[in-house]
Amino acid sequence: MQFFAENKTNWLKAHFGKFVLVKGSELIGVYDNAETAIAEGAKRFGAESFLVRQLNEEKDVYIPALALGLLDAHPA
Amino acid sequence: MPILHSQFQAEGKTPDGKIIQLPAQVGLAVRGPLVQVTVSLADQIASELIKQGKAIPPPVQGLALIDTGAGSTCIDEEAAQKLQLPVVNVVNMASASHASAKANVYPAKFQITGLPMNFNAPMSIGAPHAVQGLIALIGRDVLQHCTLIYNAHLGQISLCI
Repeated sequence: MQFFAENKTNWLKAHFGKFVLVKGSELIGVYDNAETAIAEGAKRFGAESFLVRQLNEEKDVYIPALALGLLDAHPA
Repeated sequence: MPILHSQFQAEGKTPDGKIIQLPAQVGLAVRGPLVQVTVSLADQIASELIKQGKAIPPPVQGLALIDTGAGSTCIDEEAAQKLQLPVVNVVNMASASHASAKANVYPAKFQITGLPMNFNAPMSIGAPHAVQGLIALIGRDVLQHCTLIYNAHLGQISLCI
């Protein structure tokens, strides 16, 4: 994560909208979609964790049913 | 094109404690559009593990809520742990009541019971769904490939991919 944060600005300029595959402090590659990046990560690292992240202006993920607690909601 | 028709059942209790069947439209209104799903490792990961001669964790079954309000598919965190899914990203999950929280992202594969096909959701967000009796929320990243008919009057949904 730290490696991503340190390099994000440069990567954004060069590869906006693409997906990076990072392991530790190494940029493994840049891909057009998440599926390809994950396939390459799986090929190299099996079921170990690795980072696949899209290069864009990051926003918080908003899932209304979770954020608003609607899954637990019942009529009073 | 395969189509899944699902009609909902629900039970209720009378004031004297007797259990009665409720109309299908009530079942759908109360529980929402649920489907039975089997969750497993995403194909990309599973095929690599097979090549490496490693064991693949058995799939996990449960109920998933079709959630047109969710931009991303979510998987129950406990199920993701059982499946030993690798973490491939961490996102900030917004909340109405408190500061956003970090959530893991997992590459998962889903099969909806009754539909003869699988779909990969390579960026499924981990969240605690088990307390609601759910294993996943099917979000718009998957629904973009689907036609969904919500027939409230008959208490039915139809889903085709």
